[in-house]
Amino acid sequence: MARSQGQRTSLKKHPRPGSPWMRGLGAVGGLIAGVTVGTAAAWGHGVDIQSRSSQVIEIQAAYDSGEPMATAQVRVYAPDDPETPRFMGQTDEQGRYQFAPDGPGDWEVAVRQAGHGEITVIPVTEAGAIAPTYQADSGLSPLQRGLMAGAVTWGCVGTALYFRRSKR
Amino acid sequence: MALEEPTTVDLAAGDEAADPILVPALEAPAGQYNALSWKMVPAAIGPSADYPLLLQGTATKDGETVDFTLKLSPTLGFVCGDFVGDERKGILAAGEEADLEATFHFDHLFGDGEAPPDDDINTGALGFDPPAALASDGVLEADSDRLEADLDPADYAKLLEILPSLGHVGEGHCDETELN
Repeated sequence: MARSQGQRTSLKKHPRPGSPWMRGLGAVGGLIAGVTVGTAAAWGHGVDIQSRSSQVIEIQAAYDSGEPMATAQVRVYAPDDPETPRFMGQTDEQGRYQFAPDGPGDWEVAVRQAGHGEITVIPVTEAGAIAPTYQADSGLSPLQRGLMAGAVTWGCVGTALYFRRSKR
Repeated sequence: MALEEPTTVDLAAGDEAADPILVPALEAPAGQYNALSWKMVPAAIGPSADYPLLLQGTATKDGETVDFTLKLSPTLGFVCGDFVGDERKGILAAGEEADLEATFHFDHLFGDGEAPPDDDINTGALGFDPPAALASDGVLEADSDRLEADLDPADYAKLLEILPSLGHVGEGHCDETELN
């Protein structure tokens, strides 16, 4: 029996308070070009080391106060699978995390820490760079348009992505 | 996608472990629904009639108990992005079901008894003492007009500052559009 196609909306009380709730979230991303992975081949024991260059996208997450989101959980979703993380890890002490997208499209990056989190969208070109001419999609909320407008501005100057919430 | 009519929701239904409260179920095209907005308007009927938000409960601190009913007037509007949590929401495949979730962080208003007193969740909250000081014989019934008149001005200002922070999508913050 076919199930009806639907969309449900639900309401939930905050199940477990996190730590500093008054702090908003921010993120800064950067593009680091030409990271080389591996070098030359070896011989004797069947070792084969390939080398390639790839574009690496760096995000940096911080609270509104400017405090980095250090050791925060990061999940990166590829454009073709928004439900299964393509990469997982955590930010460093400065709130930074790097990943190498393996295809073009809108990559989604979720950063969470102590009950606070954010998901942002990073548009990636065929060359693996953050799209410099990225335009906000009219189908998105004003908030998301704001986030993506930030991606355009900073992408042009090479630091690529910026967003900040202003809860206080 | 939008709801046609306002709906009054009892957020206190069930216990702390209760599932999220289903508001409506709508037919929708397949796709990724990564934004949610809602507006809290005065209820037409029921216990919260004429108020966008009614808070009712029992507060206890250091042996003092207050049965409270707070009727708050400000209309609140929230604009949010993706749900942020252990799972992703709003991804609707053809023939399947998906959820969107609005989350209210009332600990921002009342604080968290399990957190240290100097934690931001408690230092930033209105907490127990200011409202309790308005109670009579352990009962507090107040609307926004009374709270504005009888609370310390700094405490009332804190209340108005907290209300826009109640709306979330899981852990994700929202923008409040009516008071800000």
